[in-house]
Amino acid sequence: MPRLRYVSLTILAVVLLGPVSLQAQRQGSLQSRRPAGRDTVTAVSDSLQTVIAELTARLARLEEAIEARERAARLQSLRDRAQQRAAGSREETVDARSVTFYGRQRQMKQLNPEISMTGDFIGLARSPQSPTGTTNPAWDGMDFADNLAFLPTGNRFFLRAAELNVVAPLDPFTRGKFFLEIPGDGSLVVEEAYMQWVAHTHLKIGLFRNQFGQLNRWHEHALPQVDRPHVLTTFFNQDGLEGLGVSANWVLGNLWSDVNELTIEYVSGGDGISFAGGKGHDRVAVARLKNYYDLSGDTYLEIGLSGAQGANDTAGDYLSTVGGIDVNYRWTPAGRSHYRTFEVRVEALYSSQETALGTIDAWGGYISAQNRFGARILASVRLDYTQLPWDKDETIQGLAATLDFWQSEFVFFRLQVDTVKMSFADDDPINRVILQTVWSMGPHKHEAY
Amino acid sequence: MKRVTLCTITALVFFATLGSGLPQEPIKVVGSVPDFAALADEIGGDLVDASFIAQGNQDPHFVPPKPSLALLLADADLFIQTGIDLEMWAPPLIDKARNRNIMEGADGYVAVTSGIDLIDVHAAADRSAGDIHVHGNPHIQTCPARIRLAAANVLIGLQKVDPDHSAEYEQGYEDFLDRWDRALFGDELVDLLGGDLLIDMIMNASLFDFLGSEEFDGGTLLDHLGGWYAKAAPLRGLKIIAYHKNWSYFARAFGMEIVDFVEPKPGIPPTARHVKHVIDEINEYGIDLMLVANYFERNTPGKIEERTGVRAIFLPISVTGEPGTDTLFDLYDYWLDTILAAMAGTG
Repeated sequence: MPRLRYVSLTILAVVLLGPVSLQAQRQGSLQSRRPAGRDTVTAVSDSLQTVIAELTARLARLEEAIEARERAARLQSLRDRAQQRAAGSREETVDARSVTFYGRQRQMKQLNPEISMTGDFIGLARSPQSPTGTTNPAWDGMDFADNLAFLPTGNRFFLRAAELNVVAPLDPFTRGKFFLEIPGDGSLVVEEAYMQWVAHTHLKIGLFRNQFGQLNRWHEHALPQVDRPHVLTTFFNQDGLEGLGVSANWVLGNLWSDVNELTIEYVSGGDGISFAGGKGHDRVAVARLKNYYDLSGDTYLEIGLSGAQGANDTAGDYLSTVGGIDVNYRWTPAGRSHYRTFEVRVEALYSSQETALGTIDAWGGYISAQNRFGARILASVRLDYTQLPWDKDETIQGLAATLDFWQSEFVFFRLQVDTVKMSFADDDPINRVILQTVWSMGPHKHEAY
Repeated sequence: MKRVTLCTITALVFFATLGSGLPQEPIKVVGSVPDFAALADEIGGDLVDASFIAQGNQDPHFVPPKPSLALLLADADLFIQTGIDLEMWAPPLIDKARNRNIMEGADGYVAVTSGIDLIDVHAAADRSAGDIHVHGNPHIQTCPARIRLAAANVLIGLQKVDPDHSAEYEQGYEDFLDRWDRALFGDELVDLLGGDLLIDMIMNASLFDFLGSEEFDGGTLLDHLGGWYAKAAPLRGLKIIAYHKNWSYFARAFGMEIVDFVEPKPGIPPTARHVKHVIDEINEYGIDLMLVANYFERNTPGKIEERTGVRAIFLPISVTGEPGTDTLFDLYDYWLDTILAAMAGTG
């Protein structure tokens, strides 16, 4: 390359200098015929110097151009190598004999629904251990007090529930959800099964837990304490208020709070306590208005009003109305949300039951506070008080304290110590130590906020 | 009749002209994390009004899907998120928002990881490996190459929801890429090789080998490196500890080696036994630095610091996670400045 460059420059110089040299010779010849003069020599010299300067500059420019061309070539080569390197090992030699083709028509697992399972295991020690009778003569021989308060008896371990959750989109418009529960007795209970249209109005059809208050809708394994607040089990039943029917939910925007939300539901089924209508008279109307306030980026307050109405006798002659107000305050510092949370829930319910003997009014409620101390540790307390909706003179009071240890997001252990005082029980109070273990498999998570 | 028609046409032309002169409302963009909103800002400029859900100093895995957040999405034209299992809170929030325009598959829904190769993809995923991300590591904002690739998906989203300004978004995107590449590699190397090739080489982890082995203008290409990569040169080959896998991309991109994580498995809080193991590793390898996202607890890193002398650096994982990190450029500056200052401090 340097040799070629030298030859090129020499030829270039000859070509360029040739005419100049001829001109100089001609001038020299003229000078020889004329008397020599100092001015003429100077002029020729200047002229030559100018020409040389021009030539030098042109030479430099040419050298630069050649250098630039060479640099561009080097750069292009560099880019080519970079291109190869960037492409990495994409080029692979394929041995045709090693290739086997499979059809995917029999491999449609992606269309299977999301399936999750949750186990809810309980270890119970209580005093007294045996079932407790009632002191209320009107109920003598009807039921044990424990059953009225839905308290399991005996010192024992039991699987409270194994829950199977199956969730999938049905089509572009609807989602389907099944929550099947296998309680400890081995039976199969459909806890919820509904399809839902996700549009401006959330429409739900099927079997579902009603939007009454805050915790009624929650599944048991997701509650802040082992059991439901006594007011919910006493006013509705062990599983809370649920039914077969239709539900419509609207976000009303920010009318007087940051978010207002209205739910109206109409279901049949009842709960056997407040709503015990017979066939054809077992419809319950439920409404809930939720008012949500962002107090700060880390804190919110939610105030809800709920109401439910339906027949409480088989003939459908008498109505029950249950109203409720609930408040939820939650503080979760954004930068520490995994480690610190404090939450208070309060619900108060009022029941009005028509009977042949007149109207029975009763009320009950609970206050629950839960504090997260770290990534794994939570503690809570709950104070309960409720009158029985069919006899307001009889009451259930309770105090429960829990300590949770979350091994991971999918496994937790809970120790609950509680005492339940029933005004109608032989033995009073009932003290319990409960160890709960909950484990979840699969993608389903409880969607609280 | 002719007169009426003429008047009508005149009126239509007048109102059309009037309408075109009106300033258009910016489109409402919501990012699941501030980084995606920042990308929309970089590309869309004044044409977008970008906000975000998870705060910059908040763990993006755990965001309560509050009604007020649903209301934010209800009003959005475009929702940008990873589209994988970082924001498991996003689907219920989308449902609650009842905004068909931003639901999965709609024009206003962008999954920024779409088409981007992710690391830590588990061939056989189960929870025995911890709270793993089955589709791969979603913390792409810590990778300078992947966040740049994500910008292409954001551009698509903006163009789909606001096609009238498609050219402006395209221009904004090109401008962003140019500024990003120059911030990352310096002007000289970008002028020599172009940003696309360099980004590809980050993606397949061949950048440093290539720059070190290729000669140009009397030196290796490393001599032409500028920007964050030149600044981060002291980090290359550095062994570090990280709290969680959210620094994996960052470490790979800048040539650091994460020897171990404070979490024994992703999402599993550190156990005493594992912490001891980490302490042993720090002593064995002479590790000086530990990277921790600033939303993690400080107790365990503090203990490890105390026992080993390692320096725990708490960094925001996202834009706005600390004062002065309002853009992605600020964030990368902040990360590198803080880490390098800590390195200088540890001697």
